[in-house]
Amino acid sequence: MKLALFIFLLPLFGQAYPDFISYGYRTCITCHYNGQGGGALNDYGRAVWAGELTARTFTGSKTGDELGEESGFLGKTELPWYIRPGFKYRGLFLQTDVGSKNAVNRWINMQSDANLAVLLDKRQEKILVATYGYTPTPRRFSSTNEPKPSNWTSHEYYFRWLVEKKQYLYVGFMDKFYGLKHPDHTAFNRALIRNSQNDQTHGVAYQYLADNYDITAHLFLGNLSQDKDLRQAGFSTLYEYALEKNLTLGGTAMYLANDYLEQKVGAVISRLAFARGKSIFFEVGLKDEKNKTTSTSTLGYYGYMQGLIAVERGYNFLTTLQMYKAELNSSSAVQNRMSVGGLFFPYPRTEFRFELVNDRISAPENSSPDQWSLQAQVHLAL
Amino acid sequence: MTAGLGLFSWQEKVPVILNSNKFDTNATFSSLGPSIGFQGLITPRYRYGVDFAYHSGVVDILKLDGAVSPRRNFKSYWLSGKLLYRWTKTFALGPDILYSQKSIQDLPDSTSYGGFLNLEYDLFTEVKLIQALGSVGDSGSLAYSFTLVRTF
Repeated sequence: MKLALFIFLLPLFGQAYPDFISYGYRTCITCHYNGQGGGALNDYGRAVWAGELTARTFTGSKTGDELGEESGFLGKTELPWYIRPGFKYRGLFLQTDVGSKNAVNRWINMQSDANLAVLLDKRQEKILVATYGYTPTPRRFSSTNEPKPSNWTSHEYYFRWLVEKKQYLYVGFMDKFYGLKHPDHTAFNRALIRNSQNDQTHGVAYQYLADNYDITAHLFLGNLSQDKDLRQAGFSTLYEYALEKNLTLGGTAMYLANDYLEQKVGAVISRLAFARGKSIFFEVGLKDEKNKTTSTSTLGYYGYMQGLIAVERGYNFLTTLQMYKAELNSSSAVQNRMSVGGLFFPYPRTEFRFELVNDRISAPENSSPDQWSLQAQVHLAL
Repeated sequence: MTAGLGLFSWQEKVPVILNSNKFDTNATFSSLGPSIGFQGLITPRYRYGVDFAYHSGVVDILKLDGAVSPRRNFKSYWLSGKLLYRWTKTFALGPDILYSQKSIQDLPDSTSYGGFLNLEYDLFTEVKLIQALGSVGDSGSLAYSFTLVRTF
């Protein structure tokens, strides 16, 4: 009951995906332990998912309050206040070359994680968070003699400290604070700028959450489990200002380097909720990459736009448009990726995504026929 | 009345010459440009619209073995008529029929037709985003556009 009351008294906090600004949730930290989103959900995030986002198709006559109260790790059974475990699984059915005789079907176990949050005080001012899990071997290792990385790895372990009111400090191993974070780690605004599924880094981040803006600075040393020459050390910043309750505008930047490369990226970000459950957001940026071995540099751009339209509670129409151009000269290829599909929360702790993806590459002397793929994803959380 | 700015991407067949043989092959068109339009109500739930868009950009002819696959500039005029069903207060969808006239550098002018499904979201009171998915010409390939529109 206390949890339900909390939800209705504080409707303007929390976020699972950037799209959920359309439910009044502008910042990430009320739903996630990590202030940039992603990773383990806290009690409030679990309750929002179950009570506000999930369809009522298969939940009988249960109210949002009741679903929220059952959203804990053991359902209604409360765990001791200082410990919050969780499990996450994401699996993907992928069909490439859709509609052709060369179509290939694959099932990919993308994520099988156990996470644990240890609360060091009842006010949750100091929290230890860790996520450990299975990661599939990247496909490139199937055709090389390189030693394969371990499939069982830590994805994050950090200490979060509420230093002062609205001010958070994060120390440890985590994702870089850059851009608008969403779960598609293959997206151009994640995979192509070294902020993808396995690009976590050791470092320190400071976050200030004001009433109408938030700002984060992240200083990182790279992944210390990698060889020293490979570690991508640098810094990133993220700023987002709420022009209105339902409209934000901001900027983000990141610099990283190791012995072989140097990367500078910066982007404009914006999110707009135009009705309850209906939103669009975009991130448009420049990427400057220098290959230290050859002393060559390239300057290109990327763009990511997503629209999420709730048809009814738990069932959403999803559109994504992405662009990438590695170099700004006219001969460089432009990659466009357009996907349409659905994002569904049919049952508590369950998410389905279905997307038909069109990849289009356009360039002088190098244009190729469109590639189509079908992606059906299941996400289960305990 | 509406006025907007759109981003367009589609594939359509264009003529190429390979080993002295002339034939049609797919080419990717990418463009940007303004549009104006008009919408009227049929019933509170249904409305119709007519849009005119002028856009210009580049066309990349798909790579063929032994053929030159150049990039060309082009400009295109799109005239479309649509019927929209208002699903929710802010969201409408419906079919859109297109007539297209285009001029490609070094190639003859040509005419083509297309069909789209339009999805329109009212972002603000007078501003909407129109997302169109369909196909143009006989390419059998996806065509799409995103147009930001202001209503007057």
